[in-house]
Amino acid sequence: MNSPTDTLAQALRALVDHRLRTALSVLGIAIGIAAVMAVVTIGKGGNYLVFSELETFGLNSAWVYRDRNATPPGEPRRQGSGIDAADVAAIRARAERLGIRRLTPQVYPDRNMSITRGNRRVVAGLSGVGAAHVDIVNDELVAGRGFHTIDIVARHAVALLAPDVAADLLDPRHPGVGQDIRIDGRRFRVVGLLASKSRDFLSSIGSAGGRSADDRLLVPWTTLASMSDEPDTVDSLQLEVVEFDRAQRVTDGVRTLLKRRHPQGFEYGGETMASYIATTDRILGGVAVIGTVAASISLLVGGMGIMNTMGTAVLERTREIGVRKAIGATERDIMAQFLVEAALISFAGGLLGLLIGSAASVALAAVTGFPLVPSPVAILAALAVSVLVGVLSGWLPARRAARMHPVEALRAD
Amino acid sequence: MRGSGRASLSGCPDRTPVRDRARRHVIELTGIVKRYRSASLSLTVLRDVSLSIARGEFVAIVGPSGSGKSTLLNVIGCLDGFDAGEYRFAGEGVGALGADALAALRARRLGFVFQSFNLIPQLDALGNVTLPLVYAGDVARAHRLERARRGLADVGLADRLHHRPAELSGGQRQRVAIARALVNDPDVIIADEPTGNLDSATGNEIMATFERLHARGRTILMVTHEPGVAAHASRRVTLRDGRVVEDVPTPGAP
Repeated sequence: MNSPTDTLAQALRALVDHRLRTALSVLGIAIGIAAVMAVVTIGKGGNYLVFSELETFGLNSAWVYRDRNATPPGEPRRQGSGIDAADVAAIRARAERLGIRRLTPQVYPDRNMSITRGNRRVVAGLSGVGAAHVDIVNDELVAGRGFHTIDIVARHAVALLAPDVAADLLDPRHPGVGQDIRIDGRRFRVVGLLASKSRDFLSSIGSAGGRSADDRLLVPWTTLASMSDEPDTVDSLQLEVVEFDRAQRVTDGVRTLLKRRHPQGFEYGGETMASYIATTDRILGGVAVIGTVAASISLLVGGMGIMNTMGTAVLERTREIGVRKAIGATERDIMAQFLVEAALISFAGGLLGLLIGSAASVALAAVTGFPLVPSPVAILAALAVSVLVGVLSGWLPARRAARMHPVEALRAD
Repeated sequence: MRGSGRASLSGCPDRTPVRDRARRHVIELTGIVKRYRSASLSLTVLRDVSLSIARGEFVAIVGPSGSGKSTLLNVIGCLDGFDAGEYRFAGEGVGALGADALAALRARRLGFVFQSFNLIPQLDALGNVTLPLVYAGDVARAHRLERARRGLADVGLADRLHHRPAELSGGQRQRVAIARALVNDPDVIIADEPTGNLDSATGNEIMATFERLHARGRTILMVTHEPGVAAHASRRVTLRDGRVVEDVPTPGAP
């Protein structure tokens, strides 16, 4: 039997002798591997982006709101959001039993409210929130303070500004807190500046209704409610649940409580971040499967390239195979020789594909802001898969070579 | 000069202490029949061929084309099977051997020299001569190279070790092939028209090499259609229509 080093040396020699053909086959595999890698990178990067975007809303977040599409049969529809300040107090009193760590009411302006400072004017997302909001949604303050309970209770006219609003509205010579702005004509004191939360990629697609997370300002919910026609109304509740896995139960509990307090004319809905994440995972998983299948097809095409190359090589070297058999090569020797050649081609293709794929991933990361998540396991897997593709593709041609009849092979030209 | 310093060339190691006949006869064919079949016809190429070749003989197989001499050589060289009869190589029945055993036999006990040299084009002279040792697999790498180097020196190619076949003349290529056939110290050298692709001067040179090997005790079996080449052998077997029609010592043999 032929020794491994001899086989390897001879395979290398044969491949170098047919540089062009070898190079084309290598390229075929390289493209396949690079395609698979790109899909995996995009999948991972996308997953990370979506996840980090969801994280800005707080992973343990859940929402409860009036479900306006549902009205219990036989009950008259009623106006309003179905949640009021007394409900908030009631839920807060039972927070621990319900599994709620924190909660914040959410109030949205019931009409278009101007946001100005002197002759500056911005269009931004205005919402009224509670003191816990900043903690629930993982907001960070770069200056000043968040809302205190006294701001909420006493309906203080104070505001927190996200970076874009601050940049557009505040005096650039004295950036920072302490300046006054006007909302719907009423004067508000800027007490805090929020850190940037923009995820360029996804916010451009449209979280928060196409509005960047950096393009918002917050005021106490009690203050904003007092400026509306229904000063007692809360639009929705955002909760931070104690246990991620029990988020759905928590919203169910809150809905039951609200329904008991408003027995006529209202139905409530609940959403949890946990269910969003599960849905997102399912969608991304589906996309990844489709992408991987598509990329695998190009790897398959690369494998067929190797099969073709090795088939040609076997035909061309029929006489050589006959000679080798005549001087004592076994079927295994011949088989090993061509399989090693095929494996070498695909291994080289795998390496090249990794290089191309890495370069493409780096470029992609630079353009889209994807974080690069290098994975040694994926690299080893890519190399292993490429060698496997080579061996599988080389199998039939190699077997044909191994089973050639020595006399007939020697007769070939 | 060329042949000096190769102790192993001077005699064949006797690997088969079986019967006395096996000692003398390395090849024994009895009633060998070989047919080629295709969908439409069956062609009998060898009809009842019986032939024994003793160790140390130099046998030329001659005959017109189509007489079956190449087929006989392929059967003897274990490159092709046969349909009936018995073939014993060094006392051992060949008919029952599997593909791997036949390959091992070719690697260790037979050496082939072809009309068109049949060197591996991508390997240099040294690589080509080493190859049978690689396939035989029982010689260490360093030792293999040393033996191949000695073999090439023996056929006068000590200064052509790293030339590829394309860089060698026809005569040089055939000498590389002879070195390759000898490197495993085989029981029998099988040569198929070894001078067929060479001019007469170079052909004579190659035949002189064969004669020298014969003189040192090598067993050689050669197919040729040239009477002048056959005259170098010590025995001439003539085939016609797949039968041995004449088997005589060659008068002109040394």
